[in-house]
Amino acid sequence: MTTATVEAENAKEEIEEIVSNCIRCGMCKSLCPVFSIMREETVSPRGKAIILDKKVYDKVVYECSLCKACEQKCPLGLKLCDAFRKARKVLVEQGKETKENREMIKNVKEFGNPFGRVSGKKLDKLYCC
Amino acid sequence: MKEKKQIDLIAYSTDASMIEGNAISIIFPESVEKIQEAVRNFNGITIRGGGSGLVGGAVPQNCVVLDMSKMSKILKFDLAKRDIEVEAGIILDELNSYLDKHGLEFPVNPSSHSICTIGGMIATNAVGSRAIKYGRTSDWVSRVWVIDGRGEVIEAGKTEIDDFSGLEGITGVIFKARLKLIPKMKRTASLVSMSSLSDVQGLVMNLKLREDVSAIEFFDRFISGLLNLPDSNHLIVEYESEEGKMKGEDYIRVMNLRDNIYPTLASAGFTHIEDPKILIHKFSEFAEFLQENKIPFFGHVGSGIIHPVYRKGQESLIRETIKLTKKLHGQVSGEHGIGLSKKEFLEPGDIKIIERIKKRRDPLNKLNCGKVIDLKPQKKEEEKKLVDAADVEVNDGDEGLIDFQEDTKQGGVDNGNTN
Ligand code: SF4
Ligand code: SF4
Repeated sequence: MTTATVEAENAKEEIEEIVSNCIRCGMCKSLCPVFSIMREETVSPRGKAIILDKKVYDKVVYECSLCKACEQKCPLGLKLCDAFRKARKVLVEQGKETKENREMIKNVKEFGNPFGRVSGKKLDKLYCC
Repeated sequence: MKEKKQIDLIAYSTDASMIEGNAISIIFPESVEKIQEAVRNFNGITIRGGGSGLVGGAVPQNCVVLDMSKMSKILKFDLAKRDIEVEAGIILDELNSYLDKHGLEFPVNPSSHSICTIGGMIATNAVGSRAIKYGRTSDWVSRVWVIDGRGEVIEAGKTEIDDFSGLEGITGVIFKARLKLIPKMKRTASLVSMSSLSDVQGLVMNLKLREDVSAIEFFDRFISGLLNLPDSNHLIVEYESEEGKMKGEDYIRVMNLRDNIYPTLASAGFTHIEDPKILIHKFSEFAEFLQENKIPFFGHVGSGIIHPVYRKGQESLIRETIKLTKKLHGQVSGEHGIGLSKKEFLEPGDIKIIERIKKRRDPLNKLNCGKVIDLKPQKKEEEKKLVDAADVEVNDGDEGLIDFQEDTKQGGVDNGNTN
C-alpha cells in the first residue's frame, strides 16, 4: 500500500468511529447554514453522516462550510466536522475531489491565494482560508 | 446526476426512528402543482417533513419521498387577528423567530422544535411539553390545505381537519395551514429534586391546579446521573410568571437540557423509546414498575405522557410495559403516533375508523402506504372501480419516473420570509 492509500484507509476508520455513533436525531440540522439554504437532507450534517456511515465517500462533503455548528448542537458531541474534513482527504487521495478544490489547492501553491492570479503579480506570502 | 441521486436515496432512507427503509426517488416540490403531479404519477409516496419522528413515519418502503422542506414560506399574517398562513415545510423555530418580532408565538412545543415542520406537527398532531396548558397542535390549526390521494386540492376547515390531523399523512399531503397564535409569553422554570415517586405524583397534581404552570417535565434518577445532576428524581416546572427560579439564559439552559434527554439516553444505548399516556393518579404505580425493572424514564408528566426507554433486546419488557399501561387504562401511544413501529397496538375500533377515512381520501392507497394501518389488498374489480372513480393513472415502477430535482434547483429557494 502507498502512503496515500494508508492515510486514506486510516481516515476512513476515523470517520467510521465518529459517524457510527450517530443516532439520527437530526438536532445537528438546526444550526447548519448549508441546510438552512438548501433544505435537503442530503447536505444536512445528519444526511452526510448517514452517507459516510454507509461508507460512501462523495463530493457532498464539500457542501459544508466546516463551521462546526452541527457539533455544537449534537447531543452526543460527535465531531462531525472532523469526519467531513477527513472524508475530503479520502476523496483527494482517491483523486475524486471537486474540480474547484483541485484548482484552489493549485492556486494556493502557485499564487499564494485560493483565487489564482491577483493583480497580475505573484504574492510573497501564502494566504489561505 | 446519477451519483447525486444515489446519495440522496441513502440520506432519505431513514429518520430519527433509525428504522431503515428504501427510497426510489426524491422529490422536492416547491408548488402545489408539483405535489399534484407527484401524487398523480406515483403509486407509493412517503411524505417527509423534518424527519424527526420516532416511529418511522418518514421512512420510505420502496417509495418516492416527497420532501416538503422547500415549501416553507409565510403566506399571510394578520397581527390583529393573531393568525398566520404558512407552507407546511416551515420549521417551528423559524416560525416562532418570525413571530417573536411581532410579540406572538405558536404555543405547542415538541422537543424537536428546532427541526420539526408545521406540516409534520399537524400530521402527527404533535403534543409537546406545554400540553397541560395548550393542548395539541390541532387545537391551534383553523384550516389546512391538502392534496388528497386523487391529486385534488382539499381545503379543510374545522369539520374536515380531523381527516388529516393526526393521520400521519396517510390521507393527504398537507401543504399549507392557517394557525392560531398567542401573545409571546415570558417564561421561567424551576428544577425540583424529589426522592419519592409518590411525592412527585402529589406535587404534579397540585401544580396542575396553578394557572401559570405551562409544563411539568419529569426525569428519573438514572437520567439525572447521565446529566450530572444530584442522585434524585427531578421535575422541571415551567411557569408563565416570575415564579420560576431560572430566568433568561438559565431558563433556556434548563429547557435545552430537557430537549437533550432522549439523545443522551440513546447514546448510552437506550435507543428504543415508548410514549404511553397514563392518568396522573396512576403515576406512582407505573413509575415503580419501571424503576423495579431498571427502565429509565422521563416525560411530560403534567399531561401524563411518560417515555420509558429500552436497550436492544428488551422486547419482553416493552410488552410488559404496554400490558401495564392498558391495565391502568392508559393509552399505548400518547404522542409519537403509530407510523411503522406501533401498528400492532392500534385498537380494532380505531383501525376501522382510520380505514374508512383512508378509503375516502386516498382510495388507491398511494400516500404513506404501510404506515399506521395495513390495508387489505383490494379485489381486482374494486380496485378498477376506485381507479375509474378517481380518474387517475397509476405508475408503480421506475417507468416514467420523474426527477423534479433539476426543476426545483433552477427555481432556487425562497424562504426569505421565514428568517
Ligand atoms: S460544519 Fe458543515 S455540516 Fe456542520 S453545521 Fe457547519 S456547514 Fe453544516
Ligand atoms: S445531532 Fe449528532 S447524533 Fe443527532 S443526527 Fe446529528 S450527528 Fe447524529
